Amino acid sequence: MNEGAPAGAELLEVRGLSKFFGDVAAVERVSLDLARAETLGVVGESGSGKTTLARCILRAIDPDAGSVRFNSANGWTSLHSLKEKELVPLRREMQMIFQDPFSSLNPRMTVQQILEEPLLIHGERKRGKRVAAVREMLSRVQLGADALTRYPHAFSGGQRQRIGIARALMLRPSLVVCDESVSALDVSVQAQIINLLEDLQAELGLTYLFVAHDLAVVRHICDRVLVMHRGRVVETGTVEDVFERPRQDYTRLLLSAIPSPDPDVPLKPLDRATLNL
Amino acid sequence: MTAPVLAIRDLAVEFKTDTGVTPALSGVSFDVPRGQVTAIVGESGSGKSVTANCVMRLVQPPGRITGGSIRFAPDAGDAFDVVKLADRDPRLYDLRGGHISMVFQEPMTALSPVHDIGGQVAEAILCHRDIGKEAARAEAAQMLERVGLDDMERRMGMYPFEFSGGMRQRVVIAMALVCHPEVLICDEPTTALDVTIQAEILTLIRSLQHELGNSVIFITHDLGVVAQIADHVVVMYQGRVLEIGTVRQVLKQPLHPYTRGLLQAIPGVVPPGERLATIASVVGDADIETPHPLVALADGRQVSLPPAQLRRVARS
Amino acid sequence: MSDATAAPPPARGEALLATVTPRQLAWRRFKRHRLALVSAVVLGVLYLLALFCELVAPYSPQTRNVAAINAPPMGIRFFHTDGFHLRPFVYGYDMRVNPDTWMREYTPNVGKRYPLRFFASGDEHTLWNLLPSTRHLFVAEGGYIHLFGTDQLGRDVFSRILYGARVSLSIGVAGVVLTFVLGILFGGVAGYLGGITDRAVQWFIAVLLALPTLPLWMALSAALPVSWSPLAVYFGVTVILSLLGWPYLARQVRGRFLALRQEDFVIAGRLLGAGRMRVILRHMLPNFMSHTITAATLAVPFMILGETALSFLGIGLRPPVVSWGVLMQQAQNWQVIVMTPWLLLPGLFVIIAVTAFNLLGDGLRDAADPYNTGGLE
Repeated sequence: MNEGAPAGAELLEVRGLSKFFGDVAAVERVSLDLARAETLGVVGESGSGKTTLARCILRAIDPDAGSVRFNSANGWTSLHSLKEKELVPLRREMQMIFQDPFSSLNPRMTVQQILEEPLLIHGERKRGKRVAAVREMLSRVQLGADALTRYPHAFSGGQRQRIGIARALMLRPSLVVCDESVSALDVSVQAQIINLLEDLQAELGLTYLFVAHDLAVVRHICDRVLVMHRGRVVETGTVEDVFERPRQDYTRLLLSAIPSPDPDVPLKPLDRATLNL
Repeated sequence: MTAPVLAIRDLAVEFKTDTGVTPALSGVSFDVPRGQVTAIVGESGSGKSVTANCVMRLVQPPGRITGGSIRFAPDAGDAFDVVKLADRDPRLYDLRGGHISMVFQEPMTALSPVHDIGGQVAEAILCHRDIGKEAARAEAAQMLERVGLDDMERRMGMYPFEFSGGMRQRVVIAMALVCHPEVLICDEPTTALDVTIQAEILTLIRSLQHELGNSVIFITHDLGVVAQIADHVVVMYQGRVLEIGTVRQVLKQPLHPYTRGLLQAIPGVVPPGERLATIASVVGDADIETPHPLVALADGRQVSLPPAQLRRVARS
Repeated sequence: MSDATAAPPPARGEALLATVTPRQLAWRRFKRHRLALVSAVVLGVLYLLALFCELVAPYSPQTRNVAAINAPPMGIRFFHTDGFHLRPFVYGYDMRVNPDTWMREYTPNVGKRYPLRFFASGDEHTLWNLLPSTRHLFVAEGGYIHLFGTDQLGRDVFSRILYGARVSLSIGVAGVVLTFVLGILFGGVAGYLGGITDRAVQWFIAVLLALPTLPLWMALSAALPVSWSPLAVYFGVTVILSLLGWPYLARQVRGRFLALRQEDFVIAGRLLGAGRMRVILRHMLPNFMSHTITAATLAVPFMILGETALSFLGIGLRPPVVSWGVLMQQAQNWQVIVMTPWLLLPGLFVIIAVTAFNLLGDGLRDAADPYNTGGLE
């Protein structure tokens, strides 16, 4: 599946992952592979299960069936079968950037506290080292050191999202799951954050699993894309293949619904009913 | 060309906070042409929603309209200034929901969860017209059919929670149009919806507008939506109007660096692999914080630019 | 890259917002509630009075003035027949028995002028059962002072209300503290563990809430042995009130816990590898205490009213203990309302205290919302 990826470069392998809420399958038998330093987009409408999939992979929620295997420095590990405690060392390797820049930061902690918490949890006892690491990360996400003593309420949405990104990267993870990380932002701020994510990927060799409903954003930032509908994977392939030559009706429907910013390209959405979806 | 249905001039709104008075709008002026779709586009804090609320006189304390005029010219009857109406003026009551109605981002908040759909749409008619209950219900059914609901017998008796988000928004649109308003204000009506549903709603609003010939003010932050729905575009930033023109003028040859920046910040416009523009990088040293007067150009568009840039633009 | 400079220059509000802590922000939000602020001051004064009631009250609650039985309130005066006096004074009563009604009738006698002496000697008392003293905030030199009148035994109503405040107001707080412990324990366990534990606690709460409160109070209070000392009865009543009050708080705590568990920043903490204790102590508790304190503030009036109701019915605290409920028990018949309406004054204090607690709770609720910037921005 990993077209062109060198052998041994796989980072994540998901097989037959399912998650049920009651009788409803939020995610059903999803398989995917992720190579190092690539960006895989997961697109779908609300209720497609894309967020649940992302959270199952990171074990923010426990999947009901299937396997998630992660290639860390110590070789392949099966994430799905580990206990919460056994997962802790692996948390260094995989982090998440959230959608809502407001609820994703603890309102009662300063930026300094928020950013050094990951280091504290993973046993960095020297205060000086922590402070230095926090300052370094802060400049990477283009925030000034005067941010350290402030609380989240003092920042704009875009700035908070930068803090969220900094927190996720403090432990130098290899896999970063972006759960609609730019959806709640204004266009101009969104552009800044997308650029930042791309810069950080190049600098730190990050691998992104990029969950989004905005197809234009996914097309811009991703190498490959996975289209989800009602908990299942409908189509997967390189961004170019899926956007230029969609093979499935549902993908075509999604693409036809994107309003073009060119007034001379009129919107001609396909009809859900005639496609039998 | 007939007179605009709404002519907004020098509208100013202030919000009072603990630390002083914050201007929300200053010197906002534009026309809403009759029978066309005018999009107001801007990011959060641009004042686009506040402007719409002013038209309906829905600005609540701590906000206050501090100046300017909104001249409303109904199809029949004399034009009047909405800003100057007294709170108890009967014309204000006719205006809200009668002459002008509104569709919001979140359809659930516009619908009562404990009344059936048919009843709610009929109620909207009964508020403004003196007809019988049965007649109102029949008209409600007609309007609901027009916005694309089928199986009317059953649907009329259903409750909002039994509908999907897209269906609810259709019901809200039916409610807004049922009194044949001259202006329909849509405040981000598709932002909370999935892209496929958004496409359906946009198509619906456009076709109903053609059919009924009403004017539409469409508020959005999405330039893709603007391109698909609008005839005219008003670009707002920090409570001011930066640029006004037809949709082709504004989106294809934007005059203001901010508009250009917005367009080049959209991932869909910039080819994959290339960096997105940020407002700062496009605007460069041009100061967009200082207000400049809106100047009308030869081709009918208006723009707010510093004098030097304005001369350059006018020459080309 | 100059991306970050695209943000507009901060307004004055934003600049201020940048430097304040969440606590200062909460204080700003709270200050916007004038009524809550006033209530906080009123409660502060009431609690201070209750704390130092031995000093503030001119008499002990049992001191009788046989010269003034069922006497009306006295006014503090500054103008005597010979003009203005800097030192305030009161006029003593003239009593006569109305030959028609056989009721005592009192009129102020200009001849009996009793000037007030501050921090002067009066009845003996022992502050907090520790410091014996005879000092009082004020006493009437050479006579008596009854600001709120006297009851049918000639006891000073003002002094009794102050002593009653100590019992009634402290029972409110003590009851809420106990309720708090029970509520957080049960609610927190249910909210955090979820599953079967949660359902069991929920079920237990549902049953407790379904029990009719008043009869249960009455039954439990009636079970308190008559031989108990006043202090034991006091604690007994507190325990009874909290036993029946905790389910409300537990429900709120559980709801808040469940909601917080789903907050992104709590999930983020877990994904960073934070252990259970760290997640609870660092992320959940600080964000949840403010809400719980609000809930507790709003629960105090129920406790005060509960005590008042029980004592009023004669099954809570009993004389010689003085509480607002006990005092109101004296005002149970219509004769009081007609002939000696000042005996209803304890009721006024109950209303003031309960209203102040409710208004304070409203203010705290708004202040506790971390996403409300209180008009800054």
